[in-house]
This record gives sequence, C-alpha cells and structure tokens, in this order.
Amino acid sequence: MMDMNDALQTFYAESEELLEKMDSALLLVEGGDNNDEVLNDLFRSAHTIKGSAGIFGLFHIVNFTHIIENVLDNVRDKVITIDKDLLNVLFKAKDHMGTLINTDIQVYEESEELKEISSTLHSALNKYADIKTSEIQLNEVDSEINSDSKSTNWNIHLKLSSDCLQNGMDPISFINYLMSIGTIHKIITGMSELPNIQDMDPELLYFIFDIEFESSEPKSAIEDTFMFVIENSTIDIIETNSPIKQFIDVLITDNPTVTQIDTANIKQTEEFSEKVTVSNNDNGNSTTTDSNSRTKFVRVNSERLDILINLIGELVISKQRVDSICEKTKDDVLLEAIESLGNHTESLRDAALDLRMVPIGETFQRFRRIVRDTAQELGKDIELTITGGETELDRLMVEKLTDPLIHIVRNAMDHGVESTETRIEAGKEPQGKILLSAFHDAGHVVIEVSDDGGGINKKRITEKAISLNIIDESSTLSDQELYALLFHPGFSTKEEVTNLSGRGVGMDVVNKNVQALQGSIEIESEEGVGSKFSIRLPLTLAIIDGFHVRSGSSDFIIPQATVVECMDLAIFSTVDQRRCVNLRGEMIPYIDLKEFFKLKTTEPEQVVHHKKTRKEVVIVQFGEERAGLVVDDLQGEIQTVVKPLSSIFKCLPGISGSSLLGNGEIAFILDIPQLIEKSISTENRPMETFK
Amino acid sequence: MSKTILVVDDSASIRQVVSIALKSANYEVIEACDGKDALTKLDGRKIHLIISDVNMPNMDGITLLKEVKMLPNYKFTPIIMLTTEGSDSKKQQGKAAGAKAWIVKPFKPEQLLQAVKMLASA
Amino acid sequence: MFNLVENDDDFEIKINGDLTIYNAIETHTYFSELECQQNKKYTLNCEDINNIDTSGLQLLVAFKNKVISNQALFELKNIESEVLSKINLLNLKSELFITE
Repeated sequence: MMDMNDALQTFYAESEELLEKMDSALLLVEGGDNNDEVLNDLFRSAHTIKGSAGIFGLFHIVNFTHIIENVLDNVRDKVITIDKDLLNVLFKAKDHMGTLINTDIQVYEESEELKEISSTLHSALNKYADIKTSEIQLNEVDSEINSDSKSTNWNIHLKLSSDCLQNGMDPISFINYLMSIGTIHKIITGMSELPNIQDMDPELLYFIFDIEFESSEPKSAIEDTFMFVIENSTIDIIETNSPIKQFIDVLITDNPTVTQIDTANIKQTEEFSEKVTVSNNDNGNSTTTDSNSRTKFVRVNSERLDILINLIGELVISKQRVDSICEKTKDDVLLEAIESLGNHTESLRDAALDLRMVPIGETFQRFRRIVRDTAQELGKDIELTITGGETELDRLMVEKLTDPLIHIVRNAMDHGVESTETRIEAGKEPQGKILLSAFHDAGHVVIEVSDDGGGINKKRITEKAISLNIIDESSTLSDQELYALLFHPGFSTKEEVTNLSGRGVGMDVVNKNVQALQGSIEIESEEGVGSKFSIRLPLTLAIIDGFHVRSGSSDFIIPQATVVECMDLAIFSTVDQRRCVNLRGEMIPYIDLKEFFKLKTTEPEQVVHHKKTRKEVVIVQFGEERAGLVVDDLQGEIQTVVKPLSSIFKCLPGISGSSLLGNGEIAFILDIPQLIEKSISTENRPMETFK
Repeated sequence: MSKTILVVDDSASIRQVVSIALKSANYEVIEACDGKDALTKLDGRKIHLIISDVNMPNMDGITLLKEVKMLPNYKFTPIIMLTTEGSDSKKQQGKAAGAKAWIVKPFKPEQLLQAVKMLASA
Repeated sequence: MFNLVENDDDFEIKINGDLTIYNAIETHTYFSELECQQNKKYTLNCEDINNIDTSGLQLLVAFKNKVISNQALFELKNIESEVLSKINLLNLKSELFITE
C-alpha cells in the first residue's frame, strides 16, 4: 500500500538523485563537454523534479524550477549557449532547488530569506529566458524553422470534431488548459458554420476558434492539448511571423511584398507546411512512457536489503554448524551434498554482498563541485583529477566516508595547495592539482587524496605539538608519528583557521570516523612536493572472512585480511626484554590477548589435552604496521557475520564486534588497528607473562 | 470551485496514487472499485470527469462507459480510460463504445493531471 | 425550465437552470419553437444560470440570430459572473450584445 508519505519519500530520493545528475551534468558542461545527451539530462532532471513536485503540491519547488527548466530547454535547443555566468547561476539555482526540496512549503512561505533567494535567482535566470526571445526575433528570417521553440507567438486554428461536446470534451476546457501553458492574446469565435437554429443539432459543435497564443512551451505541448479530440478535427498551429505565415498573409492580402520572400524561404515554407498539418491519426500512443534500453534498476528499501544480508549471514553460520556435525558422520554422500550446499551458500553470500556494493564514482563526482566551489572561495586555481571511480565498496561505508573525505580534500586545498604566486615562485605550474583515486588492495579499498602542494611542514607541527604539550621538546618522532599528531584533537597548525577546512570537524574526527569503519588513514608527505592521505578500508562491514583463535576460554576472530602468518611463539626469542619478536630480522611488538583482556587462565586439565602447552602468535598487519597477537589455540578460517556490539561492550578497547559461532558460542571480532596501536605503545613495558 | 472526479480501478494502490495526484491539484475525488460500484456513485451528484480502468471484475471499464452514456445526468461526462494494453482489441472495443481519451499505464501522475486538466477545465 | 413573461412590447424569458449540453435539446426545442414577433424585445433573464458550456453559448448565439433575423431585439440580463467569464473567454460579448 502506498500512501502520500511513501510517495513523498520516493519523490525526495528521486529528487536527490536528479540533483546529483544535474550537478554532474553541469560539471561536464563546465569542463567543455556539452553534447546533446548531457544537455538533455540537465533539462530532464529539472523537468522531472518540477513535474513530481507538482504532483505533491510543492508549488514553491514547481515555481522556482519552472524557469530553470525553461532556461535549460533553451540551452538544449541551442537557443542560448551556457557561459560562465549562466553556469554559476545554474549551480546556485540547482543548490537552491535542493534547499527547497528539503524545506516544507509552509516554512518556505514564511521565510523571507528563501523567497529572496528564489527571486534573486529568478531575475538572474530571467535574463537568459529573455535573451532567447529577442535573439529569436532578431534571427527570425534566417533561423531554421524550429517549430518547437519557446516564448513564441502562435496562431491556433481549431475546427474540432463536431461530436466532441457529446464526448464530454468542451473546447472551453482546452482553451482554459492553453491558458495554463501560455497566454491567450485573442480569441475569435467563428460562427460561419453555425446554422439557423431550426437546422442545428444542439449537441454538435459548430464554433470555430482562432486563437492568438503566446507560449514558451514547445509546439508539441500545444498539439498535445488536443490529443483527445484529434480525430476528425482540423487543428492548425502556426507560428506567427514564420515564413509560412508571411506567405499566407501575402496570398490573402495579395500584397506586393511577395517579392520579399526569397526562394530559400519558400523552400522552408514547403517543408514547414508538412509539419503544420496535424495528422488525424490516433495519437493515443503519445501517452506511453518512453522506454529506454539502458540497464534497468529497481529501487529497494535499504532496510530490506540489510535484512536479506543479515539472513544470508545467519545461513552461512547454520551451514558451518551443519558442516561440523556432518564431518562427524563420515557419510560420503552427505558430505558431498553439503559441499555443494556450501558452494551455493558462498555464491549467495557473494551475490548478496554485491548488492551492497556501489561504485565510489558517484561520491567522487560530488567532489568536482566541492573542489570547484572551494577553489573559488580560496581564490586558488586547482584542478581535480579522479581515478578509480569504478572501485566498489559497501554502500554503508560510502555514506559514512563522504564527510571525512570532504574534510581531507578541503584541507588539502586550503593548507596543502599554495597560492598561485607562491607556486610560481617555487617554479611549479600555477594550477594546483588534487588527485582523488580509489583502488583495491589486498582485500581492502584504498582511497587516496593527494596534492602537489607545499607538503606538511614538520617543523611547524613539532613546534605546535610542543606548545600544546602533546609532546615534549626532547621527543624524537618518526615521520609517521609526527603526521599522526595531525589527528590529535584540537590540533591545527594554520594560525588562522579559515572558514573552510576549519569548519565543523577537525582531523581527529575524520580519523575517528575512518576508524569506525575499521579503516585507517596514512599520511605521506614531502615538503615542497605535496602530500598524500590514504584511507584504507575493508570491502564490507557485514560479513568478514576471519581467523578463529581461542585464548583462555574465549573465542576471538581476527579479520582474515589482516593476518600475515601464524607461528609458534616458542621459536621466537624475545628481544632485549621488550615485548617484541624478531620475525626474519624485523622487530614486531606483540600483545597477549589473555593479558590484554584480563582473561582467566585455562584450566590445567584442558592444557593437558594439548600436545604441549604452547602459545601461538598470529602476525597481523594493518596499513604498514605489524604486530603479533599471542593466543592459546588456532581454530582456523571462518566466515562470519558481524553483529554490532551491545552497548556494554562498546567501551571495550580492541573489540570491534561480535559474531555467533557454529556451535552457538559468541566470538569477539578483534579490532586489529587498535590492538596494533596498543602493542606498539606497550612495546617497551617489561614483560610479565614470558620470561 | 473544485471539480469532482470519479476514479474507478480495482487496484486500491492505483486508486490511491491517482487520488493523491488529483487531490494535490485540488480536485475532489470519489473512488469506486469497479464498474458496478462506479454506477452507484453516479447518484445525482455532479461529476466532472471519470477516470476508469478497463480490466475490472464485476463490470469492466468499457461496459461502464456504455452504461454512463445511457445515464441522462452523466452521458456527457468525459471519461479517461486507463489501460495497460496500448493497442489491443480492448481499445478497439472501447473506441467503438465511444472512448476518446486513453492513458496507458504506467503513466506519470503529471501526465494524468495534464489530461485531467485538458478535459475538466470547462 | 423557461418562463415567458410578456410586458408591453417586451418578452422576458427566465431561464431556470444551467445552459449545458445536458439540457441542450430541451433548450433548443424551446428556442426554435418560440415565435419571434417583429420589433419586440426578447430579454433572456440569466440570473439562474450558474453554468454554461459551449453548447449553451452556441444556442444563445443561434437564438440571437433568429431574433434579429425576425427584426426583433435581443438582450441578455442578470448574467452571473461564471457565465460572463465564459462569454468573455470566447470573445462573444459583442456578438451577444453585452454592453456593460
């Protein structure tokens, strides 16, 4: 069942999409790409929003969008060309449409500010709506006859089928309709067919109408007015002052100006006369919706999608449980059947996950606008290059990633890219460059924002950190540690926080947002050359391939993508009393889960069951950092559904989620980035567990 | 003065969508779930336009149209036929019965409103 | 639906109800059968006409034509705004001798 609110929700979602489409199209136009397809998209988007808004009685949107649609129609029909000024107005107008869509009509009616913006933009756009008419008038004689052009004067001659009144179709209704799509300057009601009263059939139509009509609607819209009475009707819609009209006038008045019409115009006239004859064919098909051959998309409520994916997750778990039971039976036929079930379950899982994957390109496209606006605000000349837009990642992540990315990009533009003068002095190209790219890397998605600006000034960071008492003067920090300071709350090196990157959140919030997505940010920078921020994220948040380990009596899952290798701890000699193992010459800090989570020691009896009381170490990696996790027991690979943690566990460091195991036990999913960080920070503490 | 439109369709959701569209444009809407039901609504009140589905239980749209043409108080009411089949025998039947205005489903509400406005603005 | 009142040289016809296609035949019959006498004035009192459509306007024009072809006088009075707006829409004011 659909109610008004459902329909409205659809309208909002649809409008949002259309606005983004407009944005992309405008950016393409700005980049010089203004082919018909792009201009059509632009027009259609505005048109659809206006149309739908009308259905919902959102006349503040309709009225405002109408003129945009009008201007875009002119652009599409090449009556005007988009110049820089118009483009700026259109960007603003598009934004304002977005505001209006998110504004209740009552609120709008009471907001002088919004109305003011509407009318300012209207007058700015009106110019372009006007230009077209005057241009058309100027070029009238030699312009090709465009019967679908705007604000045009028409002569409409109507001799409708005589039975139309009996069909409930009153010409008055059509005339009133015409008044809603244009202006009627004059109507002449012709009586020539009206017989004496004795001879007339009172239910038949005898009146003939000649209407002087002005409208910005295309000729097709005027024709459409009469689509239901087209049978047995004569409907002539002729552009006033068009060559054919002049021709007709000449013929009627037998005026000597006939010599003024040259042969070229006569030829056009002949072509045109074919067009003006409205066919009497059934026009009913004109109401069919246009079908295109593009990929069809189905709009699905994201909640339903999440339910499906959750269920498939449960299925994967059930299947694992069945697996473990079947193995005990040693029944070959059963095992074979289960294996086939397993394959299908996996395919199903992949297909379901695929549903959540969206290309990041759409999000990236928004940055063209952001970069453009920010560059304008900053008075810098910056070019944005986008690569890897086709890279897919979890829709939920895309949504949560936008804000951090915006901040990083703005930061790069504001603090990274230098002013044009500075760039020229430094012998760089005057135009700064920002590169936004995405790619897959070992089960992760990496999103990079790089700039060719001045790079991070390490000295300034150090000074600032010291002044803020984050570090003391004697500290010697590696580059990574130094850059990590940027994520420290309240850290900003630019003396004056501009209203751009300083707006709202700081880099610390950006970092936290990324961490919440089980991601991390790495920074590379070279002074004078530029900086690169890399955000590394898992592909999806819903299901992970994990590595199941036990410590004490607890189960843990290590995200598979972070596991490098597993070793027997005994083979490592500890290094200089530090919590560190030597892996082929590389010093790797480690952390003991039992100690870290303060778990009870395994019962002695249980220990006896093991071949020997040994400890395993799982080497994990996140970004460029590695650490070892010491556990009691390795249980092997497992595929599992991530369940959000209940609130009591949320404060537990080192845990990112939970999951149900095939045997019904709860396993905790380890937060590897956090554990690596902990292990590094405790690396130098004296050992307690191992001597 | 707002106009009254009778919407006849056996699908409640289509009736609802059509009603939403019409009400948003300030039309009064009366709903009926099939041809028979529609005839009971033609009880003397002023109806400016009828929008009817073709395929319906009890009484289909074409029969409704023929019936309406025989009611002295409603015989000149404009009728828009909603149809899913663009050009099949139903349409020929409808034409024979005097149906003039056709809208093929699925339509955009704006298309429907446009058609309504053309026919109900007298 | 029609009341004819004779008043010296004048005839006033009171129309009780709308002039639409629903009663076009009745109206037509009445107007065609009405005898128009030369030099008399035929006034249609429209105060009870709330609605008119194209068929009604055609009948008004046809009746007017009949009246003047019989060298009688034709006049409309008490026209409701709804009706007047349709007469204006089709630009029939002068055709129907409406002066105000």
